[in-house]
Amino acid sequence: MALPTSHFHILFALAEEDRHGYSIMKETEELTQGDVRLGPGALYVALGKLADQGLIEESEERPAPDLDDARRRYYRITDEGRAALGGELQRLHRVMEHARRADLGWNPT
Amino acid sequence: MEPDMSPASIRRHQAMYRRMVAVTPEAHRSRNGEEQVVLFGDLLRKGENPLRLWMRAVPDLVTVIRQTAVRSPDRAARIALGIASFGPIGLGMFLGWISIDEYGDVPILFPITAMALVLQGVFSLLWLSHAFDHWEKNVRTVFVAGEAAALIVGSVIAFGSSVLPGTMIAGLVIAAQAGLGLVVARH
Repeated sequence: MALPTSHFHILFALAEEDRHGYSIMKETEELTQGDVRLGPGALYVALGKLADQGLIEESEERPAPDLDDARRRYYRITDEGRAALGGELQRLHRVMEHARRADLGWNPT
Repeated sequence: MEPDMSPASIRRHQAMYRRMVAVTPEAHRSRNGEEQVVLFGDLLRKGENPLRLWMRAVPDLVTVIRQTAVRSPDRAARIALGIASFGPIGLGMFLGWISIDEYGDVPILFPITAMALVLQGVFSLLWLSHAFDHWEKNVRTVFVAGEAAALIVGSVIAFGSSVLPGTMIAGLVIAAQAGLGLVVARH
């Protein structure tokens, strides 16, 4: 089943490294050139759902307390999360291949 | 890029945002509320335009409420009870107004009933807003007793009284409100 857009981008951002909410938000904005903007509320709803599904978890590694706000949580992708992200990338790849073969007037160089 | 905001100003914005986050469902608020406030502060600190941020905050919180709200029969009963509570308040105020306007010419039962109805409606609303949560057990007993009494009074007004025109509808509203109160109290 296809991942919701916000879930896909969160997993994508976390695949590279553990991040906190603000970092996930900025990475997503950068990656999509501002097309996907997650509000704080929507972001934490999505993080909660991903954690409930076991696709991400809270990371215990974090900067020293004097360098960071103690209330800030860091998240990491789990093996299940990597598998779900891989599955979604495969699905997108198949869609792109199909679009290329079907000659839909879209052919990325 | 906006000019840097002072820490005091960021804290003020965060305090306002925290109040807004308070409207989201408890399960979400307790799990993510404070971190959401921290993130809001991060965005301000990194130079986001506060006006743009606030304009996006409202639809964002609506999304949170829509996606996290628990839909259950209990919740539906609570909403219905909240709305129906205005029935006894309205009738109570109406009876109270008659009692004052026609002082001396109305049975003593009028002002007493008026006061009881207003109290019942207000008490239901306060109970729904969790105002009594820390002494829930005693209040629950009072609430159930009050609603049971209101159910009887409402039914008597609806089916046995011809004191005022329209009292049948008013009695039915009171009885319905009290019935809903008892349903909600079971959960």
